Amino acid sequence: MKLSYQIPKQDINLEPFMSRPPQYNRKTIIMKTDRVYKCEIINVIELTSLEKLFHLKILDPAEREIFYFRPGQFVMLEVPGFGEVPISISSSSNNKEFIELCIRRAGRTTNILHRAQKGARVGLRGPFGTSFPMEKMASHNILLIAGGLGLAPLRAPIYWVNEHRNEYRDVHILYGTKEPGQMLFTYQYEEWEKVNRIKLLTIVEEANKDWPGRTGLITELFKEITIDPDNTCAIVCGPPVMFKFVCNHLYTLGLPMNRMFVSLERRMHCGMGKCCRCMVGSTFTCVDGPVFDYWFVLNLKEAI
Amino acid sequence: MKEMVINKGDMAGLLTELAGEMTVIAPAKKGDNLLFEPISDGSKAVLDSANTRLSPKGVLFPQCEQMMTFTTDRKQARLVAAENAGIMQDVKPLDQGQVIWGIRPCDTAGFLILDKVFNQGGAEYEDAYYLRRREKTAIVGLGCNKPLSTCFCTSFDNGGPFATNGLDVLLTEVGDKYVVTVLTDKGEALLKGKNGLSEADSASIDQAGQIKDAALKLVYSSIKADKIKGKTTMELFDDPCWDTLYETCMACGVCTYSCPTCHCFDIQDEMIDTEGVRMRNWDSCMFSLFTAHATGHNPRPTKKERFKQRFMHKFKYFQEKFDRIACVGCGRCIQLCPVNIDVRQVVKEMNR
Repeated sequence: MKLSYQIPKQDINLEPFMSRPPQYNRKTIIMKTDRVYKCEIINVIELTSLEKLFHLKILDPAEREIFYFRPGQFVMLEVPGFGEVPISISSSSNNKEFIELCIRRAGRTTNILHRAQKGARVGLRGPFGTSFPMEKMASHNILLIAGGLGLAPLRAPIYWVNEHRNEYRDVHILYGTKEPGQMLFTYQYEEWEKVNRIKLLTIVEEANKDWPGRTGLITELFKEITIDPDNTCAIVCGPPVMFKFVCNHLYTLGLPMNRMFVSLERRMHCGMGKCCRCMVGSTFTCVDGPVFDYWFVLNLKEAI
Repeated sequence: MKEMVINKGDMAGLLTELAGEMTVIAPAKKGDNLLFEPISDGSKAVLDSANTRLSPKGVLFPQCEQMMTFTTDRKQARLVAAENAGIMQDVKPLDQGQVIWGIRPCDTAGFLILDKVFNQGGAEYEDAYYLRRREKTAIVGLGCNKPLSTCFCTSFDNGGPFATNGLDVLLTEVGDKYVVTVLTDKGEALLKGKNGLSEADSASIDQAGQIKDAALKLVYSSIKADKIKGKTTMELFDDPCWDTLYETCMACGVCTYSCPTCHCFDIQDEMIDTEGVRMRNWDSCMFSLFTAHATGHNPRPTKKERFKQRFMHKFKYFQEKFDRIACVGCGRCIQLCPVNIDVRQVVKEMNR
């Protein structure tokens, strides 16, 4: 039987997996599937015409204290009467005051959310899923690659790196969007570059006349940086088509697949691995994902 | 294990008596279809027919189920601050016990598979809605004297037409009597002191044994899925058999709705004025919207992937996860499929 992806054998088990492969039927302590936190929207920031950043505060101080997540995890945000949507967390896991969610206007629930004003109440369930192995990436170079809305889930690891900046070596953020107007969190770029010594490279596919920067696909950015394959970890997040291009490019640069982490997105309804909507092979994105290493993703059909 | 007998004529009386204490759910005619329905009159129960149209999974996992209710005010609908808005109230659980009477052993095996799914991985991922129904339910099975041509319940370790796994009581039809085999304490408590039951004579027990052996021989179809476990997901996924198998499928979803083990569901909020409910409804992986993202991207874009997903889930993914094939051999999907897709054929191709 011929496999569609021919993965060289020597790549397997070159080093132990940095993230654990899914162990089925396990219980993770960090996942809370049944608790609904009542939240208030304390601030709404309009980032682009499609995306807004919501600051959510859990109303009960005791609950606010126990809510803890790791970078890469997501929550289910519920608006009673409209539905529940999975949203990745964009804030620092040390921020006990409020949770930041970057939401694009796409469906029914997110459309009603975009009409929300300060003070509106919503419910929050979670956090769900696996997270980026930030501790294991320590003393490595970090490569954070985002496309479009993919910067939203990457903002949590960026905060993590900023808070533990001395543990990591060179940190690069490669960020590409379709148009300059779609760039998210532009107000933070200067801070990241100057305060946190992160090298940020941006690129757009279709430039307008005001755009001074680079134009092209995100893989163009690899020409400008040098990657030390033995000492680099990559986190990739973006639309499904981007994973394949970026990860394959990284692979040709010599980066092992088990040091590339991707965050998959799927339609989800229950968050408990029961409704089968987010199923990829025998893996449930809500319980066993959304963070996988690229080696694992290639062994899952339909994943990207 | 305790054996008793009851005359067929006394069965209706027993069921009516039971219905006074708890909800009795038995195969009953609803329009043209034979379905598992709550009955209050024991004579409504149809115990001499083969499989019901739909499986009884809906008793524990209803097609439409209220999960939570909420009240909101008109302001909340526009998402402006409202003090009490948006607090979900759990719906009231069943207040009395229920018994499923006359379920076939294959459908019971379906419940054992659903148990694995909804009780997955211990306390944190338990599905309270299913489990609290399951707890209050006793299951009285009825052995299959005459399996149909579409039945293949002896395949995949399902035990065949008289399997007792998961049952509290097993009924065996012997002439004008039923031999009642009490298997668990729950079953014993259910039937304690009921009218019409008497100690079984050895002749009836012998006869029941013979019927059981005869029925086993009547299950003609037997399919093997032994090689599927050894194959990798990648191998099976790229198998050329999928290129042709899916072609006739119309994606109507009847196989998933009638299946005793299919459990994909959808969660939706419904609101009338200020009163709302959160509903859980059956869904089907055969529908194109099942996995469609709000962006328009669909990880399973064509019918082929969706068709493949259903069979791969039942025979490969489920086995990887729970070491059990999620098919009980009831044959409903074979009977009801409008384009004659036969699961036995598909498994044969997968097992090649």
